[in-house]
Amino acid sequence: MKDKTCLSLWQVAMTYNLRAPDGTVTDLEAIREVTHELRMGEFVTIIGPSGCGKSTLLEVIAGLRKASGGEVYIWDQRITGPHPSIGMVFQEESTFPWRTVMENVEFGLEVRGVPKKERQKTCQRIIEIVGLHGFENSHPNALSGGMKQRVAIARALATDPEIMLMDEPFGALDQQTRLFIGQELLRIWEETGKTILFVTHDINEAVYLSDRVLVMSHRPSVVKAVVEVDIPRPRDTSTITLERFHELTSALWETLRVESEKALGITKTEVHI
Amino acid sequence: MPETYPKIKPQWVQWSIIVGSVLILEALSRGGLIRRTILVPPTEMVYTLAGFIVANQVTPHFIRTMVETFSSFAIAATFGIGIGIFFWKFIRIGKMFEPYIVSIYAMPLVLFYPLLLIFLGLGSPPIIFITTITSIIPIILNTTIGFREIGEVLHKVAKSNRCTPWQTFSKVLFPAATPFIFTGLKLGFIYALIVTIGMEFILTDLGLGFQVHQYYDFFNSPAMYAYIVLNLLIAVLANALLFRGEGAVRRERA
Repeated sequence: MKDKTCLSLWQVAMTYNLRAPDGTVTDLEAIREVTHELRMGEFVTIIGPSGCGKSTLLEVIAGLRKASGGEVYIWDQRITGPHPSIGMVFQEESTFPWRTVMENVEFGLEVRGVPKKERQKTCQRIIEIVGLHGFENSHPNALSGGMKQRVAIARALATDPEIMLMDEPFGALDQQTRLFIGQELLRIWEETGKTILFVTHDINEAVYLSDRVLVMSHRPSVVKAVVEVDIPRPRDTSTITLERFHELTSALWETLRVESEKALGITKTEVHI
Repeated sequence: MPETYPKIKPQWVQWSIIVGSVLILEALSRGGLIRRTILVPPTEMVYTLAGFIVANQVTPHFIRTMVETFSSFAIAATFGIGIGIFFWKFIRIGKMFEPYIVSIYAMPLVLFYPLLLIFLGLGSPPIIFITTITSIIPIILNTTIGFREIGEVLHKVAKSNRCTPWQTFSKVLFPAATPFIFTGLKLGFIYALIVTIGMEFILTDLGLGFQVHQYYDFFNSPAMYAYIVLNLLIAVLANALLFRGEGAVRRERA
């Protein structure tokens, strides 16, 4: 099953038309070309310097944004808008504060017209998978940041998508919480068998979670390197102490450092000073 | 800097001020320091009011004021929320009309009452007209702000779940804007009550505001104060209920 390609990106490009206050329009080429394939059940992470278009790429795949070039396919279906086989988790806090945890998780099934009893049964199972049992009737304001993101993950999982797109979902959490919620995510992934495409800034998180890491270059971005993570699974928080983990994070940083310097406008001389 | 004074519950202070003021007024008026034509003792105000209520004298006035207040508020809420949403959806039109809407705030609409008398006559219609215009402004402005303030991510959640435009509006955007809309409705209702009672002074022959004005003309201080107390009680009760409702809506999202 793992050999089956479920998501294909073919020469995906994105150029923005920026309008200046004086009315002149300039083109900003955010993504030059991304071509890649994800197989079923894989955990793939995209990493890259700030502003390289990682989130944009995810939004193109999710059908929330139209690419200016190239094509995205799920199985053999071309993506032209939001697809039922894709669930998305966002970086920002996206739970609905007026709904309870259960009602939040039910949202996707509710708008699809699934009867209440049926969707509650499904959502109860998902809530248990993400470890929020006992909080079904709580509102998000009663939950921690990590728990709120688990609600968002549960909401995306509830519609049973083939592919989960996760745009820096733990970006707002502290390092320790990230590590533990990352472990939770691996457990959820192993339990559900979903294909996950994950965006992060954090090299450690990328290596710890993924089967493969795509390193994107500075704007206009391309896939600069693909790093296969050969650390055996199951992984847990002790994985970060392995020598292989450090080798991989160092290799990734070497690739990423040059691109980050370009993004920040830092030259070698400046670094040495 | 740490607070060094003893911790007292704010509610105690608030109630102490109210009870203390009433006691001072009672003492001043009973002691003859303030003439009865200017102020009657608060206990007498309440006693007179109780007498009016028992004699069923208040009911028609109360009903008239409430009908005017609630009908103005209902019209303002219906159209205010609708116009607010329209201004959010059509940003350019919203920006075009916003200065007019805001400037109505500063306008003493009561000055138009001679015109209203000509066009709408005496009674409820001119009161409902002016009250609606006053009440609708905060509802429009808060509704527009409420929808504009919704984070982009909620739009994306709705879109990624393939919501229809109606589902996006009813299940995501409208609930997200509710705290602002509620604040607009709260202000709108308070304005409706204040303006209705105020306009009843000059534009009608029935209503709680009219009663205050009438007893003032008759130099009947106890009766005038009895109706002032009733108006205050209604305003305080409405305010407390609306604040409580608003608090509940905001607490859920804090």
